[in-house]
Amino acid sequence: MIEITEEYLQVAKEFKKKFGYGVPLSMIPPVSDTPTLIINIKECIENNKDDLLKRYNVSYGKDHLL
Amino acid sequence: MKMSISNESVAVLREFADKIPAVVENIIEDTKRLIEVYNNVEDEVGPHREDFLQLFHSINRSQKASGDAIKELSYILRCTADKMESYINYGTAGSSILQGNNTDYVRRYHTGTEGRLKTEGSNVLVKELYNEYSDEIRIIDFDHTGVAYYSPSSKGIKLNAMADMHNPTGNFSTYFHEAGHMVDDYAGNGHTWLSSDPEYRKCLYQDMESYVQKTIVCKHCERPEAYDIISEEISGVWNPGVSDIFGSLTECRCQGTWGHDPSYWQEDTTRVEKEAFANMFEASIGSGEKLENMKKYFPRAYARFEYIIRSR
Repeated sequence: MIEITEEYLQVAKEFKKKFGYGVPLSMIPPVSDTPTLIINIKECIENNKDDLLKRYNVSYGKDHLL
Repeated sequence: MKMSISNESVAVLREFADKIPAVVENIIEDTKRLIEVYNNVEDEVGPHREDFLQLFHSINRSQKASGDAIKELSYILRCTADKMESYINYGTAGSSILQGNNTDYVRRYHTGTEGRLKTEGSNVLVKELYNEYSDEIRIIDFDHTGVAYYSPSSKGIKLNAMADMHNPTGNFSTYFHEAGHMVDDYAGNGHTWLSSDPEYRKCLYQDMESYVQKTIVCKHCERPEAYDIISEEISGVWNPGVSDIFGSLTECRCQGTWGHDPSYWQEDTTRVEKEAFANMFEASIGSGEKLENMKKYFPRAYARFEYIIRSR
């Protein structure tokens, strides 16, 4: 389960600074765990590439509403 | 027709599932008519009156039992069609509550959603709308491991009930958000959604812009800094909907803790008002904090949301 910790908020702020937009937290599967999410966000920042949703295999139909 | 995992079979199953409610309705009507006919001739049946009464009791019981079973069949057919479609499109169907023996778990989930609905502070208008369509709300998967969604084509919701029971933004928030999408779809006139209202969309942008301008003036700053200030302000568990709406209107540049990806909004611009509707719907059910915040940041849009519901 995702928990909003101080560490998460800090890394989410860095993500926004790097990419210009916020972490799409509403699209991350809720069964994910926070430590792994933090690692994934950090790696996106380090790699200068936002592939966060791909890391979670997020896919949805054209008419789906999340 | 031979069934196989194909789009054709998916369509056939859904068509069949759609027809079932009418079949049930016919059985109920026919039974009623039979009883009416009997009541009209009751005095003339003579010594066999008791036999006839037994027979009608038996028909009534069978009708009730078969009606419920057939309704279940419709649900199961839709679930099967959804799973087949999921296999075709994504190569996986995930696990389903139908495959397990988790009736207690589902019951607890439903009891929890009922509890939140009864919370003092919920918007009565929204509760009425929910109650009007609550029998139509169809959860395809209670243990979906991906992100929750509502599919307008299958008229079904996939979510993870366990995660939602411990949702950091309030228990059952995902349920009421997705139910909001479903009600938005169902309560439209069949061709459009309730939220497909140009004035509603206009109000959303006006409210966002007003708040940004107010922040610029009050904090003596430029727009990017105002975005940062507001993003900070709308972070936290009581603002997931407000945060998401701000994100949808600013290409996710002004967004708190919760929100979608910029591409999600770009792919279909009507998602802006559809998601806003679901966010307002969810904020309207439960303790008042979310609702107060929603009205604070989106006063005109929320008033329009209520107007849309009232005038449906």
